[in-house]
Amino acid sequence: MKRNPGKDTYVRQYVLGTHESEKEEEFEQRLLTDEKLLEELSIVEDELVHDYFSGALSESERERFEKRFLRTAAGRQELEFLKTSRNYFANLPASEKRVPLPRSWKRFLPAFLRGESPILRVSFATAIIILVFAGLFAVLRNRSNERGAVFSATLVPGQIKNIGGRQMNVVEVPPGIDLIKLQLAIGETSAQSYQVSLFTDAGEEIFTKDSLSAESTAIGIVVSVNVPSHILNRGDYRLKLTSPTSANQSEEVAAYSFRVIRR
Amino acid sequence: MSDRWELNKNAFEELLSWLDPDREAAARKYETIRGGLIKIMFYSSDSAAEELADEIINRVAMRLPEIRKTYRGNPARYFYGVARKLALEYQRRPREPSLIEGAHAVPNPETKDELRYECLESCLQRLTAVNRELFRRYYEEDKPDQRKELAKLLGITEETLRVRIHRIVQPLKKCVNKCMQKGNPMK
Repeated sequence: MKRNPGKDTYVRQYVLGTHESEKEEEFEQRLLTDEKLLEELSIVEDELVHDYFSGALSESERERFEKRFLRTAAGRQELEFLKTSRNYFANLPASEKRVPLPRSWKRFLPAFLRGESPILRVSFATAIIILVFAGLFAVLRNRSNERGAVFSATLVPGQIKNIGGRQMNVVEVPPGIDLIKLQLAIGETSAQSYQVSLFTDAGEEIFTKDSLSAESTAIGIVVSVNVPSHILNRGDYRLKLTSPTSANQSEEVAAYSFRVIRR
Repeated sequence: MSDRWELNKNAFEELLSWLDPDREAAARKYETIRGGLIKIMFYSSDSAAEELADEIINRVAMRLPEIRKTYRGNPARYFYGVARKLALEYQRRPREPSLIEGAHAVPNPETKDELRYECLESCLQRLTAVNRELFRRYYEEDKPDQRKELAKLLGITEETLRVRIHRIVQPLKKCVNKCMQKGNPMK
């Protein structure tokens, strides 16, 4: 019969008489104070009786067991109990009905989760949660990496669409673009941050972004804003750039008109 | 060997109070100490371990008034000291007939086997049907993964199963032994 040798090695050795004598006193003193150890010793004795009876012990273990455990009437009594139990069940008539044992839903769990250690179960649940989040993170990260190329366009303020065909900013978006980076050219500025509001030609606000900052580029000082491509369908748009002046107020810095053409 | 000083009720209560001020805790400690002494004497002497364990307890209880004045430490260690001493004594002295196991009239082995069989049959009826079936399946045969499958069915580990079975078997053995001492199965 297989058992976990690591756990009850000393106990098993004690029963067989192969234990380290230096640790014997400590072990025996523990038997007087540790209920669980006492019980474990009895369990190991039962298992060794079983192994002895079924021939699972090695030759040397058999000899030791006979010399140490079976030398007393009490030890032999244990063996007789096992033999009698086996005979009893072997002689039960075939018609003797077996009592069905209650089946637990936990039988579907792996062995280590069927344990009664809450620490183990919590650790396993925590590990699963970490794995799920790690997986989600990886998926989201891959999705962001898999976005199409960003298309940049520079807008110059002040050009307002004129029905008469006055020139306005044109943003010609190639296919397969997920993000349109609008670089809003501005003059000298001392604002700490900016807010962008995007309107359709009909005046409907379809996108806003705040806490933007100005940056110096080759074309001058710009405020950049990334607009999801699906928002800017073919058509005309107006973009307002503002900066906060106080807690609840802001002033317009610039306005931009542009036409989106999809290739 | 000391005179057969019997542990009377007062002495027993004194002993318990020495083990622990809380009586319930003291009773548990007493059972553990006694159980441990039986095991120690089982492995260190050829004599009846239970009787020797009780001898040790008697010796300690008898000297308790003196011990309490001077001894400081875990009482269990004191018991252990007495156990080692008693084990040495019995290794050196001729064994008394009353303590030699099996010195009393031994029934015919076949009769004894029959009695044990009948006692087991009787005692098994005292178990619940589920426990009886558990005992049966655990001891019935040596299928390679019998116990593993049984543990899985119950939704517990093999370790838990061994403990559960042990807690079924121990009272069963006591029942059988008691029945055999009486000489007839209890119905």
